[in-house]
Amino acid sequence: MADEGLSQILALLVLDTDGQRLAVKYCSLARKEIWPSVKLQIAFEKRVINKLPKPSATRSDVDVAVIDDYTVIFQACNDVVVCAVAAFSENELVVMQLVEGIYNSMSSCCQGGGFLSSGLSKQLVLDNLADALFILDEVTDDGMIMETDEEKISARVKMIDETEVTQSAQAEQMFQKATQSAKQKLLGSLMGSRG
Amino acid sequence: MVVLLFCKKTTITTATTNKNNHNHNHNNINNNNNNSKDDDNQLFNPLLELPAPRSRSPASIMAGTSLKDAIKEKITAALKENLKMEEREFENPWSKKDKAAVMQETRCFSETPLDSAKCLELLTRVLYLLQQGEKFTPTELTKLFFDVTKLFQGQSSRLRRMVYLVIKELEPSETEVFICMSCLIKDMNSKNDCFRANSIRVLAGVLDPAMAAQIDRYLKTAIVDNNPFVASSALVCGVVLHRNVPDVVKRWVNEIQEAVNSKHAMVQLHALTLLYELKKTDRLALHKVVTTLARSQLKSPMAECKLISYATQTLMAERDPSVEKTLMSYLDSCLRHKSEMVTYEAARAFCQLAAFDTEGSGGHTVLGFDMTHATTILQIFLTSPKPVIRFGAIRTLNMLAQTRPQTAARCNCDMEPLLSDSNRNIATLALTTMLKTGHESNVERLVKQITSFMSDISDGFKMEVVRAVKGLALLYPGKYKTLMAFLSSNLREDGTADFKRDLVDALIMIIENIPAAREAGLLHLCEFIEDCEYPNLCTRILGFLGEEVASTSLPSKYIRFIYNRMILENALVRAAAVDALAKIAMKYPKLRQDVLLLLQFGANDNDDEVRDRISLYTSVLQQCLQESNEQAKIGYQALMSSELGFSLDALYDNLVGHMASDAKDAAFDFNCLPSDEAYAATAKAQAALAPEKKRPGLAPGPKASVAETQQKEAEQKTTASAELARVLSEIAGDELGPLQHSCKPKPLTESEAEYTVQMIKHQFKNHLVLEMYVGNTVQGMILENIQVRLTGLGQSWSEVGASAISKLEFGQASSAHVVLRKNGGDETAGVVTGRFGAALRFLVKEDGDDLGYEDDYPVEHVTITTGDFIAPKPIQAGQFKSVWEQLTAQGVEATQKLALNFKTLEAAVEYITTTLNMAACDNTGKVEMGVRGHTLLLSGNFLAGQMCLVKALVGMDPERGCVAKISVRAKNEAVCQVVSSALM
Repeated sequence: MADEGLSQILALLVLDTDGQRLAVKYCSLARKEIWPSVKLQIAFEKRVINKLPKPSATRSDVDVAVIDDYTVIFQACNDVVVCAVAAFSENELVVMQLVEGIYNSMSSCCQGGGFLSSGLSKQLVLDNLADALFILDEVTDDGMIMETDEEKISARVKMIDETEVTQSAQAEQMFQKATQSAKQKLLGSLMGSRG
Repeated sequence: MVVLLFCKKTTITTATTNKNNHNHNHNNINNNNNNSKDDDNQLFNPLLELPAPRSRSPASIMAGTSLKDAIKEKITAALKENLKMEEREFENPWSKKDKAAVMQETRCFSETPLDSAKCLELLTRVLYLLQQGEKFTPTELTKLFFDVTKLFQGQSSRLRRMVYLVIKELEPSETEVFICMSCLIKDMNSKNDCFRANSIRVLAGVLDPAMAAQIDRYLKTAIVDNNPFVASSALVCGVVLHRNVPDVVKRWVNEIQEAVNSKHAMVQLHALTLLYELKKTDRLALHKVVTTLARSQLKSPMAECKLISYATQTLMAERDPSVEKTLMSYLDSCLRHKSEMVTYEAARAFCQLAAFDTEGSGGHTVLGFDMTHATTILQIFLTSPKPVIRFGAIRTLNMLAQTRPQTAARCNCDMEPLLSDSNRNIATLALTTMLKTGHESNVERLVKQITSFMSDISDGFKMEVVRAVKGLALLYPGKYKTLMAFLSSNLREDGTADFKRDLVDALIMIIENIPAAREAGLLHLCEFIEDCEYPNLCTRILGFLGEEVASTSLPSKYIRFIYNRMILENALVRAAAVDALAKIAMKYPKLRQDVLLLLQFGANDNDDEVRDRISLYTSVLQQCLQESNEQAKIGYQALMSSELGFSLDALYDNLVGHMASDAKDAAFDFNCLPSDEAYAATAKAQAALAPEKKRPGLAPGPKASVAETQQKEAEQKTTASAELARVLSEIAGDELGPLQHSCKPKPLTESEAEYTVQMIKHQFKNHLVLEMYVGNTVQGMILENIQVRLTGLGQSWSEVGASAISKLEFGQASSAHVVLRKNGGDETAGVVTGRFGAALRFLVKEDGDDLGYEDDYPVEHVTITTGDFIAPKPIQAGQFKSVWEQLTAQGVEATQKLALNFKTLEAAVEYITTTLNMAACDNTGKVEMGVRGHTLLLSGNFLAGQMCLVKALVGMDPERGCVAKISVRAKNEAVCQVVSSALM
């Protein structure tokens, strides 16, 4: 537990499975002292990707790894990995909530609503790069966690007043979720998942 | 039912794939057909006549034609689209244009009307290029920044969002920032909360500290804004500003306090963070903040986590009873919080404090609070389906196991399944934790588990495993075979130099500490050097073999391995092998002839150093082999010793002085050089004098002084043992045998006496060496030829020899030794007690006085008790009983009843522990308040490493005062008798 309890999150990384950067954000401490050049940062990202287990399912659970004495909490989907790098002394559960927040808002921002889409992919992130960068910007500020709630993040990215959103959008979203799950259920039964 | 299902299935196939329809259908029928044939069941016969799928029962067609058609169409369309998506090759939309093209296009920023979509795309491209490590020159960046500021004119909020982000990324210099300041301040006053929040966040990043006062007012009101985004942004801005302009931020304290009680979770967190930053330099204010907040209820789990970590830091910073109780009960209450995040943080806090609170070590309490609840929470987390939670729990337990293995051991049953966890990090942590908490009975199983791991974990973890195995070997000497086999099998595997070094270290340590493991361990090392790619490890092992081999049962067994090195390796290793052989020959005369022969084989080595060594050793060996040549033997010993007898630093300094002095033509005299120890002491005294003069009023803090004394002790020990060996070989030669045990230093004078004397007793098989560590604290006095005089030795002791301190100047400290022989003691397992008078005799010279005068300096009597023959050796908590039982079978027991002249139980327990010089086990060293009887469990190592256990029942009897019953168990009967009668 370092006394410099400020920089909780050293870096947020959205990488593809080959370790290529899609979108990244380093806090000032990390950018100036820990990995002071892009070269070092990329080298670290490669180490991260090499250490993480290869994602097998389309969507995996939030998982954790220790790399260079940093806690890396990540969630992978198809060919995209979303990671948060934190000091080893950080509370993993807090960081996990952050990663879930990023992952969920990224999925909902980038997906464009196609109900057959199979989740986040490299192509989707790059196609919606501006949104991805906005999300990374919204969730942390100089290593401090700003927000982890998916709805609030999405509202802030869209520059909508979140206090209104939370009320009006809730109903809308409920409805959307209901139709979505209905669609999926129908589709599932038709595709013979029970047969 | 089967028929219906079948129909349905085929329809879907038709609808979705639109092809292979017929085949599929056909196959299905065939399958069923086969089934029916196999089963020989006529019931399925109708299936054979089943017509094409379209002729279903009319009812179902009627019900859903329109709906089905609609769905069918939709599904085909969706699938087609989906297929198209998969067909589409991955393409990076940002890779096409380079920096030059982007710079060209920035013209669109000044176009009217503004094309927001185009600008947005271009800015995204800029960010992408920056992120990929594209280098922009400072002029390009400046131009870009100025162009971007024009975009504040645009109306699109999405473009504005991008402008904010780009400004942050571009990190404009102070001279450029002013351009956008007015725009940002305008946005700060906008009606749109998102504009306000974002402009504050941008300002936090780019603001020139000098301008902070300008916007102070805006930020202050923003902190208490109703909109959480605005409030959070202002608070985070405060944290950033606090680094540069703390004075401005300090003025917001009231607003921040208010924000801590905000109803928004994240605002609470940010306010708390900023508040802590403001107060962290002021200890009392911080205490107040933390304790007040600990009493109130925070809503946000994240803020709660922060507060827990602040409380933990406060508790660890110093022991202050006034806050301890409040904070500890706060932590305790957090264990019952409904958020997992908070309970985990609280459990972690308990574990951190457990490491810090050494007083309660061994027990289950932390600063007086029970930590069982904390471990229970971690135990529950161990079985969580979420890997992150399992990881957190096992990591925390691993940390706990370092200081309190038995507390962490409670969770062992839930740790075991984690050994096969799919997350390697979790599995490895579980393993190392279990190695620390492991019980003797499952050592073998654990070691087997590790072996399956070793191939796919990182070197860092491997080293941790090795450390844990080393600990296990020390804890359970009986298991050395399994553990050593594990270590040596890893030596054979591939690994880095560091890993191999750790393995070798562990093996050497086991060999040194467990006598039974010695020969097997040495052979493991021998095998390793047969095929070792690291020369420095090889030389290290050869050096170790040279020391150890001579005292094994069959030294000749190892000679072959060493000789192989001498013919097969590079010069560095060959030289080390030559040294090792020579050393063995010195210590084991029977082998001298053979070693001489082996050395002669290498006489033509092509390396100068190796050849020199060989010729030197052969000539010495030849001389030694001539029976009469006593002097050669002494010379041989000096040759093999790595001790210089004087300090190298002193040699350097004196040589420099010698060259500068007038007498530089005269030969340099080595005899005047002080020993390492003495030289270090002088240097230290001089160093200590300098700063102390500067601040005489300030007493050093208690913590520092403890660390200092510990360090001093450690320094003393290392230099002392080397020094001792040298001195003793001078006085008594080889006669003494190996050192069995050294007692702790005991002062024989007041600590503020003019000349301080500490006595250290060194036990040998038939001898006792008294080391008098004398310090001179009188300025301007020089003591010369300090000798130790003992009086009243009596029958049981006789003096063999002594060494004197030749010269002791002010601020120096050095040792004089007396070697005593025990007369008798055979029946008492080598224990001979005694008490004699002691005095120092020396020549005192004042500065400038050449003659000086003789003086006697009496010190306290020297007493030798049974306790001096015992070394305390703590047993891991909870293990006393099993070891005690073990000794029932293999050892003997002696009991003794006695009455002690003490008024309280505490005093009696203290007396027994110190007299026997043993370690109290299972926390029995402390007597609980108000009890009438107490059981004290002690363990110690008797002389040559015999385990000796004592169970003492101490009670207060109203009639007879303090009474005790002592039971002693050891493998040797004489030991039992001696220890049990020691208290009489």
